[in-house]
Amino acid sequence: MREEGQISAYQAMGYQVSIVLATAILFVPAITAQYARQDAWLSLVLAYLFGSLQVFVATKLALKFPRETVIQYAPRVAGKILGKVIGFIYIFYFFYVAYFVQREFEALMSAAYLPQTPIIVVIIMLTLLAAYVLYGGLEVLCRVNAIILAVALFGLLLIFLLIVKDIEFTRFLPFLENGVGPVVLGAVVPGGWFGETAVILMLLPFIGNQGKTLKTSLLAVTILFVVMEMVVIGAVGIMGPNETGRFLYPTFNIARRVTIEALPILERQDAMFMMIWVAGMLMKLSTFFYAGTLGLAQWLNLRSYRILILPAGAVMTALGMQAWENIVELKSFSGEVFPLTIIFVNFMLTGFLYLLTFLKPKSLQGAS
Amino acid sequence: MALSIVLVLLAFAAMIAYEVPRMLREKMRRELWAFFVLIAIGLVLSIGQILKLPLPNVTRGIEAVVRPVYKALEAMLT
Repeated sequence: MREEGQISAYQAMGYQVSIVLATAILFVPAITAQYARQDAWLSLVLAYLFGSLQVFVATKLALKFPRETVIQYAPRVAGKILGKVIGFIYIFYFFYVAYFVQREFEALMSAAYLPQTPIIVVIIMLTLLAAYVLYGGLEVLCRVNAIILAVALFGLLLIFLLIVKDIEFTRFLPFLENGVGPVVLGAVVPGGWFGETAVILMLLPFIGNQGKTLKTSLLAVTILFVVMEMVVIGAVGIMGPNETGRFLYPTFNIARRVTIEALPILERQDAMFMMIWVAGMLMKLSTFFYAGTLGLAQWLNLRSYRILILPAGAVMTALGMQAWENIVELKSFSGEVFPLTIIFVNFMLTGFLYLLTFLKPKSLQGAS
Repeated sequence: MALSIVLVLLAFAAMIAYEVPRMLREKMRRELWAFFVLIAIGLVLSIGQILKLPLPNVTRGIEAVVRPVYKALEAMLT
């Protein structure tokens, strides 16, 4: 595999934040509020703990093999055939989330802005842009991402500050109305999403200052947790749990509700939200698309991942078009099927490999 | 339908025209194999969808396995 350049631990952190952020702020509040209702903020705390555990295990495993990605060392750790199967599951997972992201992007774009455009056009536009980012390589991706992420986080903070005066804290009562069960169930979805930061398994060999990776990975989950709390507290505090659960995109709706009498120019921030979100979705798609394509090239022992970008993008788009008929199916899938599948990969599969490294210390040889 | 098929074929032809000459020049045999296997999968999936053929759907397969697990979890926690 050709040298892919070098990034810093903080750039990797930006990658980890972007890989979760864009879809999480849009889809998670509604799903979490449906189950946990006014205790949705508490679900996020549980999800934060679970997400931190997942990224901690993933980083610990990655640090044992500082020069390789998980695709390269899995066959040594788990045996040749099982290791290749595990590698393939990781690769499929990256493409699986990528085509899920394509469809989520199309879902809001055609619902809110482009109702007459065939959905495939919207998807191909985003995918071609992501392919262009991938031709640039990992360093380019990380640098573009740093700019987009800074604007996105600042914009989300601004929207939150503009709506904070409308939050009514009585909407968060009564506390634990239906016991802890629904709160735990509400944590499954954000917990799965936070676990996507385990992508560090693919990034670690390209990080220069690896000593900081554990700290920056946990910081990535913390940033995501703070942003998600802002969005969920904003949505539930303004609209109440019923309405938040009923809307497809509560975040989009609260951005639309910004009203400031003194400064009408700042009203209705949905345009700014969309600007942030479209750029964020491009980064989210690029991060998964990159991890999947790089993984596939390593799995097949190819010299370069770049030749796979276009055909892999085409397969991904075809799978995504085939997968769901409409947005109702997509939403039901993202609440009930998607989180468990990604938890299976990011937590169970990663944890399994981590345990195996203790049973087979020999597999570590040749890693350093 | 015919137009969709023509557009899909053109898109795949463009990909081949963009990537293959360089791979041939540098004699990247393994890479060529991987490239054309992916192109074939992509062609079957996209043309199949346009013609509404009954293709295997991976996502539905995952859904059939995972949804019962989720329902059990949901029943346990609510």
